[in-house]
Amino acid sequence: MIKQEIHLLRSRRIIIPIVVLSVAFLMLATFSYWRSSKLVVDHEIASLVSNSAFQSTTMALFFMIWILQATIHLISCGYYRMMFTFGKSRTQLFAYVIKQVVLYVLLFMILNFVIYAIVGLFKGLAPWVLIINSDINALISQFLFLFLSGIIAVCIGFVRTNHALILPFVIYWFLEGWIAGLIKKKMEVDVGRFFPLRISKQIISDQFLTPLNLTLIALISLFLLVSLNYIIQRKNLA
Amino acid sequence: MRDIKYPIYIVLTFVVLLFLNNEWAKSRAFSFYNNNENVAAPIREELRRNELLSDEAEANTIVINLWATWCRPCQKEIPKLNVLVDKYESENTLFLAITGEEEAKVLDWSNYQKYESSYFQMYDNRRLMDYIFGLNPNVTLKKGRTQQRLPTNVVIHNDKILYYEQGYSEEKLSKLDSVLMTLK
Repeated sequence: MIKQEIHLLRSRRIIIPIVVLSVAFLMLATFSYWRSSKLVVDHEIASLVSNSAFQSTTMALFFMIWILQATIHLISCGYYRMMFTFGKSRTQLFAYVIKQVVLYVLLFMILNFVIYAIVGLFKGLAPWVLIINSDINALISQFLFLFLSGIIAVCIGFVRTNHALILPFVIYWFLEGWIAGLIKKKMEVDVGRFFPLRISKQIISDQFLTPLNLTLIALISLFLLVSLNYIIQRKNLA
Repeated sequence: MRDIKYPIYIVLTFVVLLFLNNEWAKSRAFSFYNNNENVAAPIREELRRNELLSDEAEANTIVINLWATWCRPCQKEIPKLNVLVDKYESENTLFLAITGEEEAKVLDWSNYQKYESSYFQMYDNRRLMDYIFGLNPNVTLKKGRTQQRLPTNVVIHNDKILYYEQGYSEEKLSKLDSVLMTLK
């Protein structure tokens, strides 16, 4: 599978978004280091920078856009359809898509670390200082959050295979918080905690997850995965 | 049914990982409760972690009241405890009330009460309450079990327990008064 993915990553339609992502990370990392250096000094910068990176939802937005774009491209160019020609079943395609998401999450996190390490070198921070000052629980939380975000993006890509979806998705990302705030203000009811993106963002928040959070995250991930499986089983990928 | 088997497996794996990571983070965050240096160390650490109470963490004397809104005796003793605060509060003496209930609920309840506690308040901290229940020197239960009775009043001076009583009575409050008098 790794060889297949490396071959895919060489495609222009995949590599260009990665380059754009790297530039976006570079800007985020530079800003993060600049802001941290105003507050703390020396190795504490590494701790502050890594914590803010792990809790950043902006990165997840970039990741979801990338996954959405990649999924739509792989469906449109017939890559997934080609797997049927080689004898794969739809269930195997579902498993392959999940493995792809995991691989892309790891690739994304490694790319992010490399960019932060490069910017850190210019600020006099060695890469191992970043590693030592990173919180392992925050790292795992970010992995799980990005995985869930990737599944959301893949689902959207399979439901509507159209690049024009990216803009409404970005708009919804920014509007969700505003809508939740408006409902709370007008109706004095906190329904925002049941919105899908807000539920998933709890994974990387400062607060520990409560049983309610865990239940909602489980329900939403079950819904997404069952829907994705259903779509893959039924969708005409021709 | 076969169709949803794999999504269910993936969700179970995902949720188990999430739960284990959450529990691991909690045990790391609260590992200071295993500190046996002195009885007050976890209490001082919790105070340091609280934005509003961090300045009080180094008080020599900590007078603790464990209470809840549903506890009638806790409500009865509030005016009497307020008298103690007026008499003995100083730079080195912290009067701290701890409850396991959320701040919003307690504040809502307080709006309908005749007396308001003068103690510094720490909300939603069941973990610290359980720790303090575990400090009870009057052990009458089997090993590993703690008596969790409200109200509980504790005085810790120079990291040693000088007073530990559970339940409400005039005699216990008089004894608390005399303990604080000796420290004045």
